[in-house]
Formats: sequence, structure tokens, C-alpha cells
Amino acid sequence: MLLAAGAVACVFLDGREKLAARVCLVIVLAGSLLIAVDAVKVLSGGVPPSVAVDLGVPMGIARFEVDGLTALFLCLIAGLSTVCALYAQGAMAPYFNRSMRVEKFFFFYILLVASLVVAAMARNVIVFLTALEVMTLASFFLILFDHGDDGVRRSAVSFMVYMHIGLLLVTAALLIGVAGSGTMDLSGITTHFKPHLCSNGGSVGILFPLLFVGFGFIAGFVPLHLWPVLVHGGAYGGAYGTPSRPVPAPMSAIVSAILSGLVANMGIYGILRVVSLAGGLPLWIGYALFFVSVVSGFYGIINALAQHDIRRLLAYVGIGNIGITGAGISVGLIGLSSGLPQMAALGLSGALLHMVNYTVFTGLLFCGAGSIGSAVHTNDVNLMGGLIKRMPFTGFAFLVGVMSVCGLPPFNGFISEFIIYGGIITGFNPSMGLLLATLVPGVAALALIEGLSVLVFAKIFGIAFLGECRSSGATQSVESPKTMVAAMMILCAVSLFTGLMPTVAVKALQYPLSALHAGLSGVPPGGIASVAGDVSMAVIVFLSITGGLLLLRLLALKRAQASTAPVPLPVGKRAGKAPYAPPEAPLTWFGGYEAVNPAMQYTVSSFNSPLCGIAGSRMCGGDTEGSALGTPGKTLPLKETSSWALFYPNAQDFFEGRFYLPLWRAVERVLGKFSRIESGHKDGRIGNYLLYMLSALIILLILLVVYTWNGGSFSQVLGALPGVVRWS
Amino acid sequence: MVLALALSRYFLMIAMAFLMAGVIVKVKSFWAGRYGPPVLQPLYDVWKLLRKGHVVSGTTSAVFGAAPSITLASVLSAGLVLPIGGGPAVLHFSGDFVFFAYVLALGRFFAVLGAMDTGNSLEGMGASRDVTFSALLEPAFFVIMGTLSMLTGLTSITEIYSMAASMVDFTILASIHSTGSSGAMTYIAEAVKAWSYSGLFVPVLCSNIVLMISIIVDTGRMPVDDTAAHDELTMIHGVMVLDNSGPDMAMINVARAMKIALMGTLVTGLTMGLVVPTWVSGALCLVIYAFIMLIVAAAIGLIESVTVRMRLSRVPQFVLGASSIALIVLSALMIGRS
Repeated sequence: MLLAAGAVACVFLDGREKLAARVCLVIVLAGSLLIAVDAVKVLSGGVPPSVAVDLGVPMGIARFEVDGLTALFLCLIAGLSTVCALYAQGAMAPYFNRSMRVEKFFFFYILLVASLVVAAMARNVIVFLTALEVMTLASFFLILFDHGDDGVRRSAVSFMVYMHIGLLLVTAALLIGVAGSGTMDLSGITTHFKPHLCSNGGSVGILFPLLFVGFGFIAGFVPLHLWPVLVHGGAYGGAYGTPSRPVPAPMSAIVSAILSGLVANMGIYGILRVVSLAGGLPLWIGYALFFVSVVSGFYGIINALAQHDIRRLLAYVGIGNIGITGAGISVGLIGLSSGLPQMAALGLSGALLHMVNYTVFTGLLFCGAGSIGSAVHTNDVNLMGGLIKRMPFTGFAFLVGVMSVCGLPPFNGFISEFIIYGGIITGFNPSMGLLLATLVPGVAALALIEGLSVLVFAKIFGIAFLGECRSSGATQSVESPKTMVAAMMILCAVSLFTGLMPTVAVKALQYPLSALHAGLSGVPPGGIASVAGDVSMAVIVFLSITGGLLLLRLLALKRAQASTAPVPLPVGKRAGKAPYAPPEAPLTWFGGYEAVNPAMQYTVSSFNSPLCGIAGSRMCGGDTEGSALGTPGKTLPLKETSSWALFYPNAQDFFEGRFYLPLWRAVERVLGKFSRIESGHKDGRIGNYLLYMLSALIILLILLVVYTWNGGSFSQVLGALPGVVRWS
Repeated sequence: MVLALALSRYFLMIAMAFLMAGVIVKVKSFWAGRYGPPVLQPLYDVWKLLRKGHVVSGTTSAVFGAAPSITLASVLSAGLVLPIGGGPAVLHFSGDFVFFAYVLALGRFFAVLGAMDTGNSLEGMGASRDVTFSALLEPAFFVIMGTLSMLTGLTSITEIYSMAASMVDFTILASIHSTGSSGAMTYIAEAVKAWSYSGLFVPVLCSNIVLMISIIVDTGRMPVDDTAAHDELTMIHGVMVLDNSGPDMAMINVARAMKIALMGTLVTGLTMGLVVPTWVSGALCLVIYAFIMLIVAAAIGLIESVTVRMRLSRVPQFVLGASSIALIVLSALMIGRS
């Protein structure tokens, strides 16, 4: 098991060759296979392997363990990283021989995968934090690969900042834990704090909330969600890829797929790990998480509505789905604390399954978006159109991804959402008022999220893939290379398999579930499996009805053709004038109007307009002035088709505009004052810094003295701090 | 045997779908002082369309061809989980109402894709309106089902409905019936008493109102959508299928009729739970079912006749009203219970 991590890690140097793509694929594949073998062994009931390595003084004994939860996450890492490496074979081809140092990309790719693996297995605080830090840095450099672009640099830096806020909180929480318990082992810390868990006193009171908020930053819960938005959507905002520069779409698609499918899920994994270590959390954490999750789900989908940049849209949808996963987790937590094991088991297994499914379909969607981007040279949905005829395989894959993410049968998203609903319904207990008051609006919100996702994705798929091409880029688009298509097809197959055979998937969740909470191993896994099995039965019935109807339709059409004499089709008389239809095929019926052109098709904003009529501009990302979406806002003439214009609402993130940007400005103001002491004296600079260091040392010494004098805990030191400051 | 009976009830619902569509038109014609087409005209239309060829726009792709079949399949399989005429559904399992809602959403998704595939801005307009209004309606259904599930403690539509029916205690009524001692007024009074004891009267009444609103919005009836409109700009459902013809159009028509029947069956099932004593069973139940379904159809026709189409910007308020009713009922129940 460690060997696998080693195998991935030690071949970094080999990755440093020209055209390292194949090497990368082989390494990732080999590493993934090794990891997956171990993980599958654990998932099918093997003894969780555990290794302890003595890493010397600062770290102590580093314990690595693969329990059910880790095994599940390792499977995700292995699967998605292999698929993305396969995708990269075709996707990275445009960058070869352009002196863009492609091998660096693969180096950081392998580093990222390795750090994820180590983070998932680590049980030692320092190793865990180091792995998370390496993960962040590797992602940072991956994002920064195309560093010539201003937007890329900005989004990479934002990623750094927001991830590090999360990491900082996690670090702080874990250090409090280490200080309090005197051990570096994660489970050691929690066993130390377990007795005080429900009393909410002292440092326990902040330890768990800090961990949740920290991992929430990494996962991207609202309002801690800015990094996905800025990274996936911020770079290359709008149209990009001038002829002089290679198109960055496929490369950044891989990065986005990995970041969204694995790094964001690392936050979810962290939360689940905390849940599993704590063994039982105060009830209010469950309710708080439920509230945050539902808000995230709702916020994500509402913001996705207004996006015309496909990647930014996917970022928001990702936030929404993290919210749905979080809702599952919180249903589980509430169930655990309220003594409803069935509800807890359904909620948590739904959350685990949704975590897996989210990885699958977010990978699929980002890969699809990358393929589109590299073919059409834009991320703007309004400039696509008619792609399914030019890129049929990508179109099919994207359709599967879209249906999965909407939770529509027969794909995987439906199953996990169904199980989460099952958990919520199990909690409908008339004797528990608070529970009901939380869950029922929750169900309504989930239903609304589902309805709105159908709206968002029917719109996006309809505009991007159906109808007529809306730009010259779309007309000239061609299907992606075979490796990219193959990678997407693998994900499609996984999605369909989970959707049709959910019992297999649910059975695999048994060990992760019992790793999450010992009490859940008592819940018969057959119960959840049969719930999933029943609905998959209904889904199969639906599929066979669909097949039957399609067959009947073909028969009816054949008979109609055979019985009637071949009537010449009513070819549009002015087909020559209408630029978009081949003269042989009949035109779309426009109510008698014949001078039609592709620019008349419905756009994102026009599709949104009925909803914006009620929701108001704020909800649909209207412009900052607060004027309605229908009033003239920013109207941008397009470069390539100067004869028509598009309306773009200002879709800045609410929290970015109202909270984070003012916050950063304030930070800048405050820190700006320090710049005076920093570089005020040009000559005495070094002397000044020495002075600062000396005073810092003195303060530390005083703290230490107070600490030993009190002989108390870390919190007492914190409590003594104001006094010390006053005294000094 | 159970399955065969359930299937035959299911086919009765499909038959009722055509009949209801005919009755709606008949009622509207009667109100307008016309004679109207035969009640079975929808069936004839479907038969006629099935034998015709079709014209397909050159803009469209395979999605356009598959969409009507998938939409119809979704409606047909949603019907499989509905209990019809007091009997159990063909398929029933825990949480089947989630399947019901999601599979209908799938059908709507493909209907929208089919409309978008033509590249026609008018069809895009209809699609956008349809999917917006339906999304707003989605929570209402879940809240209703959640309420009923909470009241009965069960999680499948079949179980919920049969439990709701058995919660209304008609034993008092039965004794009156057997002695035959009193008139209609006592009969009604006792029935009301039985309803109020069961605690189901208010939730069922409100659920039925919300479900009726769902029918109107989901199937494009007045005052939301005018099936007889001539101007594409004001249509919702009519404009989504401008380019469909032949067997595809037939399937779209069947799917629409079926959707009315599905929601009608939900309304009828709840109503029957209230008004039909549990000792009534078998064929008589089915007759009562058919009768109430026709009343529902007549009510829709009547509403269509006496209302005018709302401004499109007013429709969301109407739809959200439906959701609010459901939520208000539920919170009232929660306060009452806890």
C-alpha cells in the first residue's frame, strides 16, 4: 500500500522528459492499480492495513491506515486520476513543441495525485497537514501552467489564498488538539477530547467548528466557496484562445476536473474523517451543517442560472452538489444524535455515494467542457450551438453528465439523491418538532434545487449542443481525439452502471459506513441496498418502456413511408436566402417567418428571463446597479459576427462583491500601515528587522513563562494574552 | 394475479386519460354553446397521427427524434407507481414518489431538449417558460407527499393512500347505513365528523387544491396556458411542439393526456380515501374512481371556460401560491402535532 504511494512518488524524476504524457499515464495507471487493489480488498471486507513509520523527532511515529472511508476515497483518486491521465494524452497534444514545458504539468499532476493519496491515508497530524499543503501547491502550479495569461495568474493566486485560509483553520484546530492531548495521532487527539465532546466547553468548543469551517473552505461550502468559482470560471473569462496562442481549454479542463472531483472532495473527506474520529457530535453541528448545505445547494444552482461561461457554471453547480453531499452528511449526523440509526445510515450512505458520483460526473462534465472549448475556442455557451452534429461522442458524453448531475434516472446522480431523500423521509417523525421544521423545508429546497438544475442544464445542453451553430468557431468544430473520447466514455459507463446496479455500489459502501460510525455497522446493509434495488427496478422498467416506444415509433414511421407515395418534402422556397439550412432538408417552422438566422435562437439570458421576472435581478446575477435583467445593461458587440449583439448580465458572485472584496480591501488598508515600519528607514532596514525579531522572541519567552507559571492548558495561555500585552 | 389486477387498473387509467381529454373539450364546447367533437376524438386523433409520416427540420439531431418517445415513456412509467381506484400500484416501494417526480422531470427535460433542438426561438421561449414554472412547482409536490407521509408514517404512495383511507373511520356511518334510520343530512354530518376525527380533512383538501393547480400548470391549461391560442408568443406548451408531426406528435398528445390522468389519479385517490368507506371494494371502487376522474376533467374544463389567461408575468405568482399553500398546511400541521 505504501509501496503504491512510493511508486507514484519516486518516478517524479522520470517524468522530466519531453512528451512525458505516456510515461505519466503509465505511472498513474500503475500507481492507481496498486492503490485500487488494496482499496478494493478493504471495501470487500479485508482487514484494514495499517503501517507505522518512525519519521524522527518533529513528526513522531507516522501512522498510515486504509480503513473503509480511506479505501473509498483512494478508489476515487485512482479512478479519476487514471481517466484524466488518459484524457490528457489527447488533450495535451496541442501544447507539445511549443516550449511550454509540458513535462512540468505532468510532474505536478503526479505530485498532486500522490499528495492526495498520502493525505487520505495519513493518521499523523503533521503528515496530514504536509500532504494537504503539497496538494495545494501542486494544484497551484497546475493552474499556473499557462502563466502567460493574466486571468490564470489571478485565479491561481486566489486559489492559494482561499485554500490557505482553510488550511490555516485546519492547522490551528489540529494544533490545539495536539497541544491539548499531547499526541500527534489523529485518533489519539479525538480519544482525548471525546469525553468533553458534548459539554462544549473549552477548546473542544472551538476545535470541531474550526475543523468543519476549515474543511468547508476546501470543499467550497457557501459562503466559503470562492475558490471553485474563481479557478474554474475565473481564468480565461469569456472568450479566449486567440489564434496566436494555443488554446488552454483542455489543459485547464483536466485541472478543473481533478480540483473539483478530488481536491474539493478532500474537504468532504476531511469532514467525514472528523465525523468518524469524533464518533458522535453535538446535535447542533448536524443542524448547522444541514442549513449551510441546503443554502450551498440553493446558492450554487441559482448562480449557475445566470452563467454563460460553461466552466463558471460548472463551478457553481459543483458548489451545489457539495451542498447536496453535505445535506446527506448532516442528515446522517442528525440521525446519529437523535437516535435514528436508519436515518443516519441512509443519509451517510447517500452522502458517500453522492461524493463518488460527484467525482464521476464532475470529471465527465469538465472533460466535456474541455473538449468543447478546444473545438470551439470559447467557453461562452452563447457562441456554441449545434455541436452534437459535429461532435457526437462528446455530445453524448455531455448529455450523460448533464443527466447525472441533474439527478435524472437512469444515471448515478439519481440513486444518491434518492437515498438522501430516503434518509430525510425516515426522519419525518411527528414527535420531533425541530427535526420536522428542519427537514421539511429541506426537502422542499432539495426539490427546488432539482427543478432548477433541470432548467439550467436543459438550457445549457440545448444552447450548446442543439439547434444551429451560433459562431464560426462552432461551425468549424471537430470531434476530439480518441483518447479524450475514450476517457469520457469510461466515466459515462461508470455513471450508467451505478444508476442501473445501485445494489453493488451500496454494498461497497458498507465498510466505509461502519468506518464512519461504529453504531452504523449494526444497521443491516440489505435495507439500504433493497431501497436502491427497488428504485433501480423501476428505472429498468422505464428504460424498457422507452426502448419499446422508440421501436414502435420506427415501425410506425416505416409503415407510413411504405403506405404513402413518396411525397416531395416541402422544401423551403427561400432556402437559398436562409443561411443555416441545407437546401434539401425542410426548414424549422417559424410561424411563417422565413428570413431566419441562427442569431435568433434563444440565448442564456432569454432563457432565464421568466425566472428573473419573479426572482429579481439579484437572484439571477443581475448587474450591480440592481436594475432588472430586461433593461439595457452591458451589451457587447461580438467580434466575429458584428451584425448581432449579446446581452451579458453582470454575474459577479454576491459574496465576492459584498464580503470578500471589501474584506481584502480592509486588510490591505490595515496592513498598508505596517509598510511604514517595514521600509521606513532605507539604511536601517536590517537593524529594524533584527529589532522585530528580538521583540518577538521576548514576547514568546514571556508567554512561555506565563504558561509554565500557570501550569495550565493552552487555552489559559490564550486567556492570559491580553494581560501580557497590557503589561508589556 | 395481484400484478395482473394492478396492470388492468393501470390500463384503465390510460383509457381514462383519453376520456378525460375528450370530456374537457366537451365541457368547454357545451359552455360555449357548441356541440363539440366526440368524446373519443383525442383517441381518433392519435390513431390518425400514428399512421402519418413526419416532416423533420434539417436543423434537428437525433435528440429531437427521441425526445417524444422518452417523454411518453417517462409519463407511462410514472403512472406505474400510482395506486388506482383504491388498489395497490403496479410498482410500489419506499420513496416511490421521489421516483414519480424525478421520472416526470426527465420527461420534461427531454421535451425541452426537443424544443431547443429545432433552433426556433419561439420553441425556446415555450421551453423556458415550461421548465421555469415546473421547477417552481416541484417543491409543492414534495411538501404534500412529505405531509402525507408524516401523517401516515409511511413512505410509498400506495401505502400512504391506503393508510389515509383506513384512517377515516366510517364505522359510525356503516351502522347508520345498515339501520337505514336517518336522512341525508345526518349522513353528511357523520361523514364530516369522521373526517375531522381522522385529522385528514384539511391536509387532503389543501393537497387536492395544490394538485389541481399542478394539473393546470403542468399540462398547460387555462388560466396559465391557452390550448386554443393562435399566437405563438403567448403559448407555452403549444409552441414547444411546433415542429413535431406524425407519430411523434401522437406520442406528445398521449403524454399530455396521460399527465392529466396521473395528477387526476392522485387527486382522486385522496378524495376516495375521504368519501369511500373501506368496505367498498373491487369493481365498485373502479367505477367510483372513473366517476371522480371524470368530475376532475369536467372541473378542468369548467375552469378553462370561465377564466381568462393570466399575463405571463403573473403565472409564477400563481405557481408559487400553490407551493405556499402546501407549506402553510404543513406548518399548521406541525404546530398542531408537536
